[in-house]
Amino acid sequence: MKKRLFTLFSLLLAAAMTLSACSGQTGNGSADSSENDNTSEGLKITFVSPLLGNPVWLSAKQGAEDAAAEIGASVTWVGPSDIDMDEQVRQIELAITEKVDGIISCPLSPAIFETVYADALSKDIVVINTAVDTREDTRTAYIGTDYVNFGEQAARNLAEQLGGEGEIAVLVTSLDTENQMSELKAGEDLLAREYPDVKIVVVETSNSDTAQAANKTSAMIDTYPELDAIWCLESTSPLGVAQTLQERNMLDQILVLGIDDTDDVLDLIDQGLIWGTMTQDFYKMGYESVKMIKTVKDGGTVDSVQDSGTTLVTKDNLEAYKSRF
Amino acid sequence: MQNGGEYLLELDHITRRFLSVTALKDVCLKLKRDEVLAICGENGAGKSTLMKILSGSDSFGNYEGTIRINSQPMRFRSTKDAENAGIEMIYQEISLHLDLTVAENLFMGALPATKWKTVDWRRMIKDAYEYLQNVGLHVDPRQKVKTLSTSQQQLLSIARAIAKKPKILVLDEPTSALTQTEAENLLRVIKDLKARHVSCLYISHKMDEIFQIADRVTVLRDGEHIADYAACDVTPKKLVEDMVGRKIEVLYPKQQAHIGEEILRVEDFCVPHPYMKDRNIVDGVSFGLRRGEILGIAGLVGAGRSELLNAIFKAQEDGVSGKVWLEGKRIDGLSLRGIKESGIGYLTEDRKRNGFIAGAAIRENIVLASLSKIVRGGLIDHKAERQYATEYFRKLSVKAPDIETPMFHLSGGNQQKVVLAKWMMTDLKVMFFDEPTRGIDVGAKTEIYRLISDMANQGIGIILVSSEMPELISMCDRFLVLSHGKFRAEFTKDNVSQEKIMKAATLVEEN
Amino acid sequence: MNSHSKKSKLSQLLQRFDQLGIVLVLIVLMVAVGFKNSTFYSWDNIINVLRSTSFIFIIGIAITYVLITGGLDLSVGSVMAMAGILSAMTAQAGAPLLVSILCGILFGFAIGLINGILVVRMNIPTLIVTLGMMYVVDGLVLIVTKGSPIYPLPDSFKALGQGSILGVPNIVLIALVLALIGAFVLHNTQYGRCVYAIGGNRETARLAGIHVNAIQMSVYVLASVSASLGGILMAGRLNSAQPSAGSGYELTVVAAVIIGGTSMFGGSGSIFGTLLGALLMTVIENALLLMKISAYWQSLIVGIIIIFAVGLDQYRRKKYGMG
Repeated sequence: MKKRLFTLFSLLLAAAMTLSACSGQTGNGSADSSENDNTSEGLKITFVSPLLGNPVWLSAKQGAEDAAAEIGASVTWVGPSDIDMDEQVRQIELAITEKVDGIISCPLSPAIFETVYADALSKDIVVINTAVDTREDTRTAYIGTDYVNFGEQAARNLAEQLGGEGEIAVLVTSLDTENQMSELKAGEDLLAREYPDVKIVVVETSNSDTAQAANKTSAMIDTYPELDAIWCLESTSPLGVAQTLQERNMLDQILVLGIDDTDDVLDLIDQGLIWGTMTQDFYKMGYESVKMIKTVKDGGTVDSVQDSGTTLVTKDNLEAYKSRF
Repeated sequence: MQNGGEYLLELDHITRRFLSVTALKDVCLKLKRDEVLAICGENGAGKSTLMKILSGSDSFGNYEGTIRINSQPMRFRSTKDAENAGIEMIYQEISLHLDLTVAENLFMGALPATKWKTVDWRRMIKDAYEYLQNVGLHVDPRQKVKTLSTSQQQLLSIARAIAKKPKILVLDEPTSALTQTEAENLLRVIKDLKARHVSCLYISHKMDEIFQIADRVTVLRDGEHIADYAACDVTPKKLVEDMVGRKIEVLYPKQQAHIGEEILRVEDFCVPHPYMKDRNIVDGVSFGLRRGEILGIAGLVGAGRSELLNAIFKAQEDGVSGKVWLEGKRIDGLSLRGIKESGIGYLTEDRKRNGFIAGAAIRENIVLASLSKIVRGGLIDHKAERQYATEYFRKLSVKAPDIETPMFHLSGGNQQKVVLAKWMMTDLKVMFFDEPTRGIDVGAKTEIYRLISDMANQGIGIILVSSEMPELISMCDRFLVLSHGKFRAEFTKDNVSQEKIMKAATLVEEN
Repeated sequence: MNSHSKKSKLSQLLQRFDQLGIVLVLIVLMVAVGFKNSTFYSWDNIINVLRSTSFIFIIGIAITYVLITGGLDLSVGSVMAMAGILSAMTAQAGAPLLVSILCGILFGFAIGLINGILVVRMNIPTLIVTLGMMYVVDGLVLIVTKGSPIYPLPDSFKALGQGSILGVPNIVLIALVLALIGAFVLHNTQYGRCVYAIGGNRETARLAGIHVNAIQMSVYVLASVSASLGGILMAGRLNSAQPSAGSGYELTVVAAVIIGGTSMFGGSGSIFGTLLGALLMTVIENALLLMKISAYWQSLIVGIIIIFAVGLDQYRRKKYGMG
């Protein structure tokens, strides 16, 4: 049962990650894109989002629409209102029958999408993955957060903020959550290389359960009295961590870095309960996807994998971040 | 072909202690070749401990003394060891795989294989017929075991044991779940085994069986070896006295109670057949029961006697019709709880299944049906509870350390006494007994009979269902014979006889 | 086998003390971790342990009842989440604290009643009924929340989950009170006696005139209602109702109850045992962290300790059960 709940969770999490990281300074995106001088007009593109109403994906939508406006393409925004991959697949099939030029989607569970992707590719439709990737030969290109890059940047941000010295505790969902573990690994490697005095002293699991994150935090600060920072690699933890630090009156002693930009995480930053969060750039994912479709349709080639980058949001840039649209 | 001395199996000064309790004390026992040795003793005499040691299933395995087979000392650490030494066990409770076929059960663990290592079904079926023939069991080996009757299953257990070609067969009260005819068939099979050079240890406390098949008898009591007899030199009375350790005056201590006015009336009672659709197992019977009277209901197994009691007590309600009066008041509309509250008690046929709570203490079992007597405002009055429990514990002289002893520690007879205590504590007007002495040793039986007789003396109306003819005839004032859904005959104790009852019970419907 | 040798009162008491193994393991664990890291005994850490124990224990009390009747309830984790969410949503909408709590509790009541009816009337195995219900309620959670937490909550709601009296969190006090009530009812009332009887032998209980159906249904209601309470308190504690709250709790709670000596087949068990079971689970987790044992090793060690503790008690039971 635990397993099942767990799968459900990882899915939600993947969704959340995908969805949530709406960083994306608009300006950035447009600058990158202006290099296209276009000839073809009226490209038809369908963006099949995994979750319609989610704010993260809304920023991806914004990016896609901005890019489309630049090149005179049209983007149709569809998707299920609940995580429902069958529905996502049906929407993709529909797009294929409508003979669109390109499809953008997020294959939460890659295997489910491979057949319908093959169908699309065989009909000369460009398929772009965002946030989650399928096998390289099953789609045209992928843009999303690069785990290694993400982990390194997060670690670097923490290390800089700590002044190049300190002890860090890490909270992950579980020790077998692949993306989190690769992010952690990248972070650890970076610290060892560039900031030898910053140490990750403990890695604990929260099972994506806020209550567990709270309990573990309490035990961690008791066990490691020298602890300087807590790095959360999954998005339900920051709330629990902040809760415990508040109870124990240790908010100003421990730096907390969260992930994604869910309302509660941004709110925690606003209230000064946590230092910052690493967000993923969903705007850029949407924007670049549209641009890539155009490039391919114009006969050009694109990189198979692109990193959409990450952004650190702290109290300093919070307002700017929130009002980025 | 025989080596060793006169004895096939010798148990030499076996002692087995469980912590502070000595279950077997210096027991010696010798089994000759080709003989049936009966081991008799009440429950708790140490028979089952002995069995465990012999079968290698005594998990702690630390007994003192020696077991010799053909004069060779042996020590069994597992049941496999015992089997290799040629000892097979037949237990009281049948342990067959109900969803497998007869043949599969027979050869379980040693299925005949073809040269491709698959199961050789043809040979298995053929061999199965032969083994079944040996025990007089005429069923199709391809049949599922669950479709067999209890006695057929018991015979199958024996066939399975014989299939392993044992030297010694140990049988632990194999007839306790069987009817008289079935039991006789089984005894015949055991007698035949002697001719095949299989020696038997026959554990039982049923006198008639022991005298039918045993060559010799060994009596155990309280873990000690009491006496050895050649079966022809001893009387049943002497054996029973050895078993219980005192003189038994009368086996059936029935006193004649004053029989008063009618207390229970049943009219046009119908109960649907549990297996056959559109058929009634009890089909429109009417009868009355008077205060102080013990009414015996006789009939073959499956005649619907238990079903009748079940339905009156509302333990089974579906499709039942008919009218019931208790002291002139209609009660057939009441729920089970209402029936119980109005003063009817029901000691069921299978006490393990629905008579008592094995994991609970004696105390909890005694007060179970009378919680209202020990509860004040929803709270249990623990003191009152202990008083009541102790009162009945003493009154029925239940043999156990104290009222907190869990039921599963008790012997069958003492368990039954507790079940009876539970009903006696309710305010009884009428009591139903369904096979009240099944699987109970002689000493306890007599005590149960005395209790039943006492209840009748107090003016309680009693219905007794029993397959044990002598018990029924000695205890009851009046007899109704149920067969094919109707009462086929009625006798009083002046004109009753075993033959008359059997004749009425086996009567085929005329029409 | 009924000869009774004289033993000292103490050794007899120890013999009847079913959970001695767990207590011993707990003590050893607590002494060991104390040597390695004395902060284990700091007030903050003790409160932390007690608080996590309480969430498991509050539900564990009711699950003890369910298991004693021979049943099982796997839906409590989901009910926790959903009740927390419903209460949080009504509180957010401006309802008074009491009304929002009642909302969550009523939801639990309804789910428990449905569980009970399905088990008793329709005769569906409890495992299937409550497993199905777990999915159903999980589904409700996702439909209502779309996967995101209900946040933030009004102050009154937070006070409920975060407040404390004399430094002891409300939740711990509530758990304590519920434990006392739960143990009292189980041992001193007709209802408690019937719960045991049904689990011990349902048919025997029925033939003794006990309302087996009503009582069986009631334990499922108890389980769901206490899960709701747990969910609401957890939402208050975390200042948000998480859709993921209570995930995996159904197993943790059942494990705690069984570790505490309650039979999986019904008929026996105690609230005190469940308390020990819940404590053991949280203390192990806490102790391993404090002893700086790597997360990679923790599951392995937790498993070994649990099997050892319960095995010790099983062994003793078997040994003394023979006498």
